[in-house]
Formats: sequence, C-alpha cells, structure tokens
Amino acid sequence: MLKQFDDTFRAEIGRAIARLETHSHSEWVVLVKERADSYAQYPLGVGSASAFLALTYVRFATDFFDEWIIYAGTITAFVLGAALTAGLPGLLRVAVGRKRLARSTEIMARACFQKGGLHHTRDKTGVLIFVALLERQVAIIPDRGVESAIPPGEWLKIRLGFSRIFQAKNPAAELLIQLESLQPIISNYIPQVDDDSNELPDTLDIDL
Amino acid sequence: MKPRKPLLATGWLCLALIGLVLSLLSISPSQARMGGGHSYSGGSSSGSRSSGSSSGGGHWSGFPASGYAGHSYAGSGLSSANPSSDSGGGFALFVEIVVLILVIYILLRLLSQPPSGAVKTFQSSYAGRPAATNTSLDGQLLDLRAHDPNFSKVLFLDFASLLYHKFYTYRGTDQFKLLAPYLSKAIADQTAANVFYPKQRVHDIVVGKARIVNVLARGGGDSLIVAFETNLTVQYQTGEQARFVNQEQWTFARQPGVLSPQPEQMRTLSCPACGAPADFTDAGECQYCHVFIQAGEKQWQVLKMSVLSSLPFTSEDPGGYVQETGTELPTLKQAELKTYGETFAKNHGFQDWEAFFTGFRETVVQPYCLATYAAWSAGDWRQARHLVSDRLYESNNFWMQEYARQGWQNRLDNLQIQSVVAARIELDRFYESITVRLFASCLDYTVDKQGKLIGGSPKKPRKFSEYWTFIRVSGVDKRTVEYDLKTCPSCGAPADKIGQAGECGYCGSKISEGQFSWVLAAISQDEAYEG
Repeated sequence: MLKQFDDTFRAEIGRAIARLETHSHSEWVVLVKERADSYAQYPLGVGSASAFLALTYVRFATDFFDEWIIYAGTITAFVLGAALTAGLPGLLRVAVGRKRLARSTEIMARACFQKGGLHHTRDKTGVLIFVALLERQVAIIPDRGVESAIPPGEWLKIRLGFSRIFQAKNPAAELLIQLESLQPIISNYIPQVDDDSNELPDTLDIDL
Repeated sequence: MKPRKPLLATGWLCLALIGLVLSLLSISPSQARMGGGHSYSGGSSSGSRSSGSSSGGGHWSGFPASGYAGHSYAGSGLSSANPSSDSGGGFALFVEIVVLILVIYILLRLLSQPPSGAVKTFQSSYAGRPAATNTSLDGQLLDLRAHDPNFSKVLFLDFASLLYHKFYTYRGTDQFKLLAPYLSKAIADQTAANVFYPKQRVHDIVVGKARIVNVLARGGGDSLIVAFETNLTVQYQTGEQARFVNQEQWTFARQPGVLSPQPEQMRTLSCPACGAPADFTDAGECQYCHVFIQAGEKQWQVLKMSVLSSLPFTSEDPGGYVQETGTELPTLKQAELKTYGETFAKNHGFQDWEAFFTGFRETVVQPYCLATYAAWSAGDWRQARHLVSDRLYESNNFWMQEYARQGWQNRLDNLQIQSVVAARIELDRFYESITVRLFASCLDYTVDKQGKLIGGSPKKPRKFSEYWTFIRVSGVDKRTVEYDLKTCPSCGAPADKIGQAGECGYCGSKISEGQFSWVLAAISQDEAYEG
C-alpha cells in the first residue's frame, strides 16, 4: 500500500489542496505515515501466547515428544508467533485491537498537529488529515476556528467519507476523491476572505 | 431490551465457564495430575510405577535424579494400553484449556464494555474521587471581602453569567461593542476580528453552572477564575443549527482599589461610571457621560477565556441513568459553620442557630423540595418558577424540554425526605445563603408517551443525597406566614402568573432573586460538591 503513497501521490495531494484552498480560507495539510506506533509489545505477547499453547499441547498430547522437541518447539512457537505478528499487518491489527489503533493514530496526529505548527494560523483555520497506513485509520484534527465554523453534522459526513478510504481498492486515489469532495462544504462554511494568504505549505512532512 | 443483551451473553459465558471448570475438575486425579497420569490410568502395573512417574511427569522434563527414565516408554507403552480414553482425554484437556482461556478473555472483554442502548447506565465521572472542600478558596474570598465589603459571590456569579450570555449573543454583531468595558483589549480585538462569528448566531444559552474556582493576586488587583458549564445553540449561515455543551474557564480581573458596585449594576450591563444603559463606542466611550471606560478600571473585566471542551449535545443523554455514588460520603461542612450559624441567628433575632434551622428545614427545605419535585415530575417546571433562581430554572428547563422533545417524562414519585443537614452558610452585605445536604429517596424512572419504561425503576426506591443552596437578600424580614408556596412572596397574589423571567404577573416584582423570600439557587450532586 505504501507504494500508492509515493512522491507522485504527494504532488497530487499538493495540487488538490491548492485547488481546495483557492475557494476557502481554511488551510489543509495531509500527512501520510506508515504507522502511528511501533506496537512492540504485541508481537512479544502473541509470541508468548504461542509458546504457551505449544507447551500446553506437547504437555497434554498423547504423542510422545523428545525433550529437544519440547524445548525447540516452544521457542519456535514464540519466534513464529512474534515474527508473524510483527510481519503481517493484518495479524498485528487484530492483536492490537481497533480501539488502541484509533487511539494511537489520534495521539500521533495531535502530536504532528502541534509539531507542525498548524495552530499558528491567524484565524485558527488549520486542519490536519493524518493517515496511518498500518492502522488503516484516518484522524482529522481541525483547529478551533474551522471546527466551530462547520456544523457537527457536516463534520460527521467528512469523517465518514475519510474513514472509507481503506475500504477502497486504491486508498490513495480514494483519499484524493475525498479531498476533492470537501470543496462544496468548506467553500460554503469557510469561504475565501480578501486578505487570505497561504499560511501553511500544501505539502508538509512532519517527523517527531 | 438492548441493555440486557451483553448481560445475557455474559450469563451464558459464565455458565460455559462453570461447565468447563466442572469438566476439568471431573477429570480423574490420574488424568489431571502433573506427569501425564493418564498413561497410568488403567492396568495393575500402574501402582509399581506411580511413585516415580507422578513426581517427574510422563512426557514432561523428567528428573533423572528421581530415577525416572520413563519418558521413553510412558507415551508409547502405556498409552497404547488404553488408547480410547488416553488419547481422547489428553487432547480434550488441551482443547479445554484453550477454550477456557478464550472464554475468560471474552468474558473479561464483555464485562469491561458498557452496555449499549437508548438508556445507558454509567459510572459517575466523579466515581472514586472523594469530594473535598476547597478551604483555601474560602480564605481567599474572605481576604477579598476584607478589602471589598461589597463583594458578594451570588452577585458576582450573576454578573459573570450575564457577561457570558451577552458575549455569545453579541459576538459577530454590531452590539459587541457594548461589551467593550468588560473585555480585555486582546479578547475584544480577537473576537471582533474573527472571520467566522459574523456568520453565526448563538442563542438559547443556558448557564448550567457557574462557580468561582480560584482567586489570584495579580499585580495588586483582584483576579477570579470562574468555571462555566453551559450549553448553547449555534445557528450557521446556512440555517443549520447545532447545540453544544461547553466547559469554559474565564478569568475576571480588575485594577487595584476597585470595589464591587451596587447589586443593580452587577445585574445589568450599564456604564460603570454613570450607570446609564450600556451604549459605548468601539473605543469604549460612554455615549451618555462621554467617559472612556478602560476595561477593569471600574468593574470586573474578562482577561482570559479558555474553552476547555465544546462537544455536540447528544439527544440520548436525558434518559441516561447515572449510578448513584457519593451518598455514603460524609457531609462536607464548612469549618466556620457554627460561628456563621450563630451570627445568622443573632442577625434575625433567633435564640440560636438550631432554633432557626428547625423551622427552616420544615418550612423551607422540605416544602421546596416537595414542590420542585412535583413540578418536575408533572413535566411543568413553570410550577416551580417562583421558587428557583433564574440560572437553576433555565438549566432545568432545558432538560425538561429535552425530555418533552423525546416524548419522555421523568417521574420522581413517592419522595421521602429522610434528613436535612446544614452544610454551609455564607453572609455578605447583600446576600445570605444556606446550603443543606438533603437525604431522600424516590421512585425515579422515565416513561415515554405510551407509558413504556425507558429507564429507572417505578418499584425500587432510589436513595440519594444532594446539596441544595438557598439564597435570600440580606435583611429580609421574617413574616408570620413566611413561605406560602402558592402565592407571590411580594404581593400575595396566586403564583399562577409567574413569567419565564421570574416576574409576578400581578405586581411585576422579580421574585427569583431572593428579594422577598428564599430562592433555591443551586443543586449539586454529593460526589461533585466542593463546598
């Protein structure tokens, strides 16, 4: 999936945001990250559980196992469980759980919002769309001005739209579609003002 | 009923768990014991081998020191002696352990999830946190009153609520300049320059709670922090409306030496210099006396506004039943309660505090409680309009309208007041207030238009305790028939024409500010009350 979010995509995102902002006073930043957290403890946990199950099996199974098999099997189960969980994103997501995935994404998004200085716009019009690929989550962090300018019902629609990008075959293309679909809403509620300036770069990379 | 589903599932899982545990327990000792005793379950030869094998374990590691070398024969030799029971029992045990782990995991997950449904039962946000009086705040307010005898907490909070109301009503409009003397330049400039406010209108503002949370010394002047819990409706330029629940903290400040004005000036936005109705230029010049009013120069100004949270109001909230917590907590009594009580009794010609409080409990607290509960239960909050302050009326009226909008009615039947305990007395130049803790029980339940139960229980009484604060203007004379709840306390006419603003339809007197009798000003839950 990471391939879809390459430099070409970044350039397209920049152009989409520029188009969006020509009709609106708001400032949008899209940030795509491979993952929001390392989740290092989860492979270890799954590995331990696998080792325990392997040990339980060889302990209670009727077949005879040599001691070295018991020893090696337990270790192998641990390594296999840990490696598979670390290497297979789907398995890691199951182990981590949806709630924690969403929470990690939101924490990372808020940190990036702060670190990227999105709160420094004059009228509090910055919005961060944070995409976490491993988590398959999107967090939208609006600054106070934008948040209060758009009714909660519209925000719900926006959030629902972006939450669907990972259900699409091509999430990158879907992200662009969702960005384009923002146009009528934000130009309606946050129209362009006379002295508007581009306060935030249209493409921005933030590392913590 | 939706809320029962998780419980049902939990019940089944509990049964499954018990079944599994029983099935594990039912395994014979030879099956269950360490060392894979299943290999020795049958056959007369088991006895001769059991001492060695049971200590070491059949397939397990084995302890050479015990002389056990049986791992090489235990599995192959003896398992074949009784293949049907041995192989099935061993693997079944493994499966059962795995299933047991899964069941425990699912059970824990289910128990940790709150039940879903229209009516939610949830823990109070204050659960586990014992309430505590903010004694330092009392001392700080006393210091403030020492150099400003006119300072009245009741009046100040009325002023703060008024300003809150006006700020949201006027922002983005031409009238915003009327607030110039009450806002710092930074706030006034920022608000006036905001590009979104002119496109929005805020209305139906309800200040549910306003309380002083801190007193700060600031450059020789006074500074107070007020916490607001409010809700309001924002109307967007498209005509769409949304209601928000806000938690805010506003910092009020004034310059050194400034004293609180008279009550009428704390309840209206008027020129702090001449008292004329507020009419200022953008620069803060009064159009009547032509004095330039600098914010904080003659009256409190808002120095800082912090919106701690602003969340869309969710309509399912009215039916929510909060688990009762805090009833068992000790009553938070003011440290100087006895002293203030005696002062109060002396001021009003009573022999002692107890002599006053007995009558107060029987003629004010209990009748007010019964009357307000009856009004609430009847779904007609206006019946209690003359008994409660403006703020309490507005906030409860909001919730009553929400119930009505959903087609629900919250019934509070069979109210039984167990006891009433004095908790706090505050006396200042303009107001006196008495806070009591009320222990009671009632049948608290919500029904829809068809009488279908939405939440609560019409059979099981719910015990609770609350802190009720009554206020009255200082120096109100004692009357022969002091508290007739069915008449206007000003003119004695029937209290059937009390308007939304708390004015008697017969005499026009505003009776919701305590000028004529006690007014119920606040109701705090026991777990949230801080004195």
